[in-house]
Order: sequence, then structure tokens, then C-alpha cells
Amino acid sequence: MASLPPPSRKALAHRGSASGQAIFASLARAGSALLALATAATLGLLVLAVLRGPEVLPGLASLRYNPGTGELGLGGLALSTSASLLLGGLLATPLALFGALWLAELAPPSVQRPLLALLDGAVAVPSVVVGLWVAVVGGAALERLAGPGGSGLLSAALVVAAMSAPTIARVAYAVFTAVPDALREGAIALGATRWEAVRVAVLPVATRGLVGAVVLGLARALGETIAISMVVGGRPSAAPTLRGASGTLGSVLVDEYLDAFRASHLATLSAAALVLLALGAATHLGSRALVRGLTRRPA
Amino acid sequence: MRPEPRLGRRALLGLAALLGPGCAAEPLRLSGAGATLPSLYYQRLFAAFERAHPGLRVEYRAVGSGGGIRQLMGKTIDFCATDLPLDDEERALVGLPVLELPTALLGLGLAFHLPGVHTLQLSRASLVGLFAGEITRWDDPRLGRENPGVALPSLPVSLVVRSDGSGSTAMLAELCATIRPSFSSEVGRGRVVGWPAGVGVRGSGAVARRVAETPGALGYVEALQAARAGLALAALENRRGELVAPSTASIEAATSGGQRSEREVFDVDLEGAYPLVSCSFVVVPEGQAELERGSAVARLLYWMLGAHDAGAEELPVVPLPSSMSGRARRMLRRLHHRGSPLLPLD
Repeated sequence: MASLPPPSRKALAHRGSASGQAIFASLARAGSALLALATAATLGLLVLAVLRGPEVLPGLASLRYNPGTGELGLGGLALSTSASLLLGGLLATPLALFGALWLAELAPPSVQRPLLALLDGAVAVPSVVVGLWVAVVGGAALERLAGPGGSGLLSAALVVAAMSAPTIARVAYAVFTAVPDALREGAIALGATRWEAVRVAVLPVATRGLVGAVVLGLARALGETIAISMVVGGRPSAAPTLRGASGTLGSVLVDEYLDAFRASHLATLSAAALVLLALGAATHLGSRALVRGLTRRPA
Repeated sequence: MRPEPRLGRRALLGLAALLGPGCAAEPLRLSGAGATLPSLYYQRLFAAFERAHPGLRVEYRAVGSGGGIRQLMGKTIDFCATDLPLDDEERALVGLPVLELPTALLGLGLAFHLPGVHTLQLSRASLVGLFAGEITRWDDPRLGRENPGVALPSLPVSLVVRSDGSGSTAMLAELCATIRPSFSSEVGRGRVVGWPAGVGVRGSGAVARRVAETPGALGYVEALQAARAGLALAALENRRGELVAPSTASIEAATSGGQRSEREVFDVDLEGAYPLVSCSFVVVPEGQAELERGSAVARLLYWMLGAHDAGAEELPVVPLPSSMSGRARRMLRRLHHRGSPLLPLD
């Protein structure tokens, strides 16, 4: 391509769409290169920061985290982070999927339109507002279950659920409406009820998209720090517990990073960021494996 | 000959542009960062200093003492502020000889929220028992014996602690470790510790709010500000066995022993002295690399240490007694630029 002579002005005008394509392709290439570079730089900086306090590396897997006694294990925090994500996901997924299914397949149009608008609004709610809402409303409600003030992993799971459910529902709705009507009509023509048509004709086609919806929703909650740190109770030394105040990888980062100055403490916090990244990647890869398993079975 | 006057005018304009910012428009900017607790006091001092010294500007960012130390290590600021003296490890981290100048006194109060109870007395043993998570109810007989005539309610103790790194945490953990040495290996010491019970919140304002909202709560906040905000504060047993409530007078009493150093205001063996007292410090490198900047820093600190009338009565700090600020001013003689002192030796 480089060896071709430069095209004349007339030729350019003639092949306008082709040169536009070339520009678009190079822009896309530059964009993805930039993204890869930024990711690599972030990873590199974090690894460098960890290596500045290499003495913390052997203890990182331990369950106990207490900078005051020099115990800098992240295992407990990683567990509580995963637990809040899992619990929140379990809470949000059925609610959001069934809600979306009803909205897409069964709801009368007069209810459908206002509910969709409401859902769109809920997707855009900033996480801080979710945190505040859970801290004020959920805290009082969870007092008996979760301990004083309702702070802890249960409240954190509630934040995860409240943050991911609207996104899951909105994407799932789009997935359901994308299924061609012909499939439903075919099933109904064969004598299926409306629900049977959904089960036989819609769900198998939608599975891949639905898993995508759940992953998208949880991804929004996984990296969430502020809202979770507002309700988790700010006591990371008590990390892997469901009752009472606790902490997560994100809440420790947001609470302690600004004031940390010891090399070992800073290295541990950078390692916490890396573990959080790894958890995100694991969630993503796990869900892809899930999609592959799910879509193979019906076929 | 038309070009000549134009050239002359251009040269004149260029000269004015070069001199202009240096002479009048561009002030010298000093920057500091660190402790949040005294930041209101510092902001007020710096504003007054800027009014008195038009060519100088002082920026202060309240990022926490640890953040201030980190920025001083990175040499991105002229001074940092801490609310506790540096320990050996911190001094080694900063890596160069520094002056630690006391600027104000502060007291840490234990704020409690018990319906119908306005005074609370805590012995040293009960203080540790509460924060070690051993005394879990307010009607515990140990507390009852120390508070005769007070009907302590049947409520669980809800501890409110700091989740962010804080000098207040370090101070309380230090007192607990002084009373019971095993405390530092079990709960820890320093700016972040693993409290065995309670809920952690970010910032002292959040502690005060949470205590005010929660019946049965006990938290640690700066004493004078909490008292002004209407929180009830516990009287603590000092080293002499006296029960002392935090007040300007009992905080100042901690300095009346003619200490050799500013470090010795914490848990002192003096009559009427409140135990949880500390100094706020400004930490500044002794050797200043730039002459102009160095002498501006020296002027600022000298001025700060003489400014007692900055309206401290509404602030969360107690001004230093004049004996201490005089000694701190004399410490400033050690500030130097390539070996020559930056302040005239008076």
C-alpha cells in the first residue's frame, strides 16, 4: 500500500469512502494502542510501587490486615470484596432479569414506557447517591441482621445490588426486545402459551446477551469504592466477617492511601489495587467461560 | 528612519514584560501540606500573614499528616504539618535534618452519647477496656463503680473510630499502650490500627456526627471543637490519678511543668493536666536550597510563632504558652542557606 503512487485529487474524490475507511482504521488502531499503553502503564506503575516495599510480598496472602501491628495481608480483604460482589450479584440478577423479562414480554405498553424512563434514570444515578441511600435507609433496616448501624458486608452487597440491578435490567431489556418476533409467533402458532414461547423461543437465543448484561452490571459495582466505603464500616482489620463492620480492598484504598507514607504500607495498598484488577479480570474471564458453556448446551 | 522608534518601543515593551511579573504581579508562593485538625487555624494564620506581606502567598492543603510527610519526602512542598511529633522511623524517612516547630496545643476528647447522662468518668483501666472491646455494655459494673450516682443506661457500647489514617488514632492508641503495654501488639499503634470493635468513619467531623446520631456511642474527636458542637466529653484519669475533663485550662496545664521538649505534653504527671494532649508541629528542612524562598519560609514561621491573636478562641486548638513559642522561635536560628543562618540572631 505504501508503494502505490499518491492518488490524484480526482481519484481521491472518487474513492472517498475508501480513504475514509483508512482514516477510520488508523484512528481505531491508534485508539486501541493508546488504551493498551495506558493499561500497561497503570499495571507497570502499580507493580513498581509494590516492588518499592518488597518485604510485604510474603505476607500478602495472609487473612489479617492491620497496619498498626505490621500485619499486611490482603487475603481477608479479597475474600470480603468477592463476598460482597457475589452476594450483591445474587440479589440483583434474578430481580433485574425477571423485571426486564416482564417489561419486555408481558407489560402493557401504558406501564412499559414510564417504567423504562424510570429505569434509564436509575442507570444514571451516581454511586455516591446509592451509597448515601443505602447508608441512610439500608443501615436502619439492616441493623438487626448486620450489627450496629447496619454497617458491614451486607450493606456493601446491597450497594452492589442497587448499583448493578438497573444496568442489568436495562441491558437485558434490550436483549429481549432484540429477539425477532417471528420466533415468538412461531412458538405461539405451534400452540405454546406466552410464557412457554418465552421459555422455548426467547430465552435460548437471549442467553449470551443476558450473561453480558449481568457482567456489565457487576463490572460497574466491582470497581466501586466510595459508595461501598460509605457503608462497609471502615474496619478492615475485621475483614472476612458478615456481621459487623468490615472492609474491602476498595474501601482500604480510599481510606488509607492519602495518608500512607511508609514504604511497606504504600506497597500493600498498591498490591490491593492489583488484586482488585485481577478480581475484575477473573470475573470477566469467568463470565466468558459461562457464556461458552451456556450457549453450547441448547445447540 | 521609521523602524528605529518602533524598535525602541518594542524593546521597552519587552523589558516591561520581563520585569513586570517579577516586580509587582507575581508573588512568591510557599506551599505546605499535612494535618487536617489544625488546618482551620493555619488557614487563618496564613491569610493574616498574606495581608501583612503582600509579596508572599502561602498555600496549605489538608491532606493528613502522613500525606504531608510523603510530600516533604518528595520535596514538592516547603513545609509539612503534623499533629504528633515525628517518630524515629518518620524522621529517617524524611531523610534530611528537619526542624519540628510546635505551633499549637490540641486535646483529644472522648465524646459519648448516653440519653440522660451528661458527665462520665473513666479510669485508665476502663478506657483501655472500652477500646480493647472488653467492656461492651454501658451498665458494666466497672463503669458503674467509677460513676456513682449516675444512672448508666442498659445500652451496648458503640465505638466510633477513624477509618482513615489519623493522628487522633495514634494518640489514643498510644495512651492505651502506655496504660497496657500489650495493647500495641494486639491492636497496634500509629495512624491506622485494628480496633477490635466499633465502626470506622472517615474524618473527625463524621465521628462527631455519628456519635451525635447513635445512642450508646463513644468516639474520639478533637476536644474543644466537640465541646462547642454540644457533644458530652468524658473526664479521664491522668497519670496522677485525678479525673480531668478536657478544657482549655486542663490542656494548658499539661505544659506547666517547664518541659525540656515539646514532646513532653502527652500524658504528663502534672496536677490538673488532661492526658490526651499533643502539639501540632510544622516540619521544615533545616537547610534551604534557595535563598529567597528560604528566607520567606523563615519569615513565615517566625511570624506564625508570634501570632497569638488569630482568633483561636473559636478554633480547635489552644495557642502555645509564650515560653514554648519563644523557644520555638529560637529554634528557627538553625534554618540556614548553605551554612549561613536565614534569620538574624537576636
